[in-house]
Amino acid sequence: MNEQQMLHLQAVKKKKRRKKVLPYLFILPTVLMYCSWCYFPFIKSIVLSMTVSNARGEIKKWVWFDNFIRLFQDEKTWKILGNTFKFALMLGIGTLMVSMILSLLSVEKVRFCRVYQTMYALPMAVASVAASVAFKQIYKAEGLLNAVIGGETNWLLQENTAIWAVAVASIWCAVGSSFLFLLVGFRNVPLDLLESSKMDGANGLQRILKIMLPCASPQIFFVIFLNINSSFKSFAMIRQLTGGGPNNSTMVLTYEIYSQAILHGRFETACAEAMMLCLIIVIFQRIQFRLENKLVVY
Amino acid sequence: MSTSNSLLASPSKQHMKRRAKAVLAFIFKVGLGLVILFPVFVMASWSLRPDAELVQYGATLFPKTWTLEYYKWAFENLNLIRYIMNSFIQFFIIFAGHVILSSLAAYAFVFFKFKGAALIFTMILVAQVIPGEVTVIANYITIQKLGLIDTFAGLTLPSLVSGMSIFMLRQYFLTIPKELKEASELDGCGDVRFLLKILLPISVPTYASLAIYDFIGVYNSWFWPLLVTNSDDMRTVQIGLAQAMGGQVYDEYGRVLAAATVAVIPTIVVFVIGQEYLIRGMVSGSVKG
Repeated sequence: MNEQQMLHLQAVKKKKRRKKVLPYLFILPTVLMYCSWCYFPFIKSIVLSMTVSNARGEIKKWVWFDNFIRLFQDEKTWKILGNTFKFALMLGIGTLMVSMILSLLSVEKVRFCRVYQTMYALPMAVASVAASVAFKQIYKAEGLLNAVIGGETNWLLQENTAIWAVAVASIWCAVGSSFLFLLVGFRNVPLDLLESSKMDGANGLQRILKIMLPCASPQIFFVIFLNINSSFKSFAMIRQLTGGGPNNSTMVLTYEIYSQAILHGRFETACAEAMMLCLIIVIFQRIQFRLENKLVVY
Repeated sequence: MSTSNSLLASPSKQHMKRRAKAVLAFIFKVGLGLVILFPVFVMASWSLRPDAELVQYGATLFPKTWTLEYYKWAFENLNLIRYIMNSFIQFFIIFAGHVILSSLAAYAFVFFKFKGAALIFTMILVAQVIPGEVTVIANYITIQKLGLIDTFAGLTLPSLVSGMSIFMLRQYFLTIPKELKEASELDGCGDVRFLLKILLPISVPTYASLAIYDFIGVYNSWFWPLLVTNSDDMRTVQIGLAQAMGGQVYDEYGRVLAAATVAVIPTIVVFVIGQEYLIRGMVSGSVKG
């Protein structure tokens, strides 16, 4: 073997070695970020939920499930859990209905359809906090809603109306993206299927029920669970509109986690509640997965 | 019924009828759009009237007297420009993080075969299931310990990587023919050069989708900024707005309405311009192929 061949061989080897290291170099930053900002805090939350910690988050004592037992003995926890589910149901159903109507109306690609399509989707660009500013003006005693129906109630201060008021505002925020997802689903319905059903004499409603809905079932399913999932997580609207009141009637789990941790410095309570939230979300995702396999027509 | 009618009617009349129907449908749909956008209208319209009109019972759609008083106030007394700037800086850092980290990760998944790839991919998938709201408290404690409260580092560090951006880029990279990579390799083009010189330029539309998705998400984010920003100079736009809403300015709600109207403009503009890209991004990122 002469020198040149040797050199060439070395170069090839070097290249091969680089090929072996390079993928790990590429993926390393991502893995490190996931470990330090997702997996590490997740495990830390589990640990914190089973300990007593001080106001700076340092662990003082290991108490196993005492935090959870204390929470479950508190009536407030049950009320909060009830609100969380109630809110999720309202958002899941409400957003689906509104966005379904909007997307069925705009499914046909006609001239200028972009105009109303943009209008229907626009709420997704508006932040919850900004939207809450507008809805507060609508709901207050001298606000717009009362001007229209001629009442004088403050909708956000009544225990029986507050959660509905907050739900309507949250549905408004969620409608935009759900509308777009459903629109994509409905537009994917094969045209010849619709044409042939028209020939068979199916009317508009029948076509929607028998063809459009089954064809778009993956998207419908996705939208329902998307909204339930995000309702478990969001509390911007609630914090800004009612602050969890009146009498805790709009207090949901995420907001409670925030106030325990930040306002009261009770990290262990917050983390125990966060674990409950995590469990709820994981269970819901399991249900979603199961139902999806059963119900969705691909 | 309708068939016999249309047989009798002259073609032009039928055409007219269909045309009128389409126009009516269009008007109805736009009307419905106006109803949907009503809260945005409320924000703008009510911010333009004086306080006396704001607390009056029996409101009118448009102000009786118009005033820009609250806008003047919002710009002079609220740190509004600073808040919006902070949100933009937060977006630029996070977007840069997504472009760099997620491009590298997506590239590794698509163009390399390496041991542990499946495991790492699963790790990223599982991370999507862990809700951010569960880890947020522990992250807050970490950021506090690192002394990063009220810094851009604290504001952006936990969001520098996102599953959505990895899936989105991976989805696009998968559509690129392997021959392109092989041909450039024959020309002596290494992986880094291929990524920078060939892949990045042809992926611009995908990065545009990501940018718009990220912008709306980051600009409207609020849970994390609420935790890690305390000083007025570091507040992002949503936090500044939330503070204004709960603070002393509440007595004159017009001020809050004016601030909210200004705050909402960037995302609405970006949304209207980049709608197509956003939809494409949403669809490709949510199908976690």
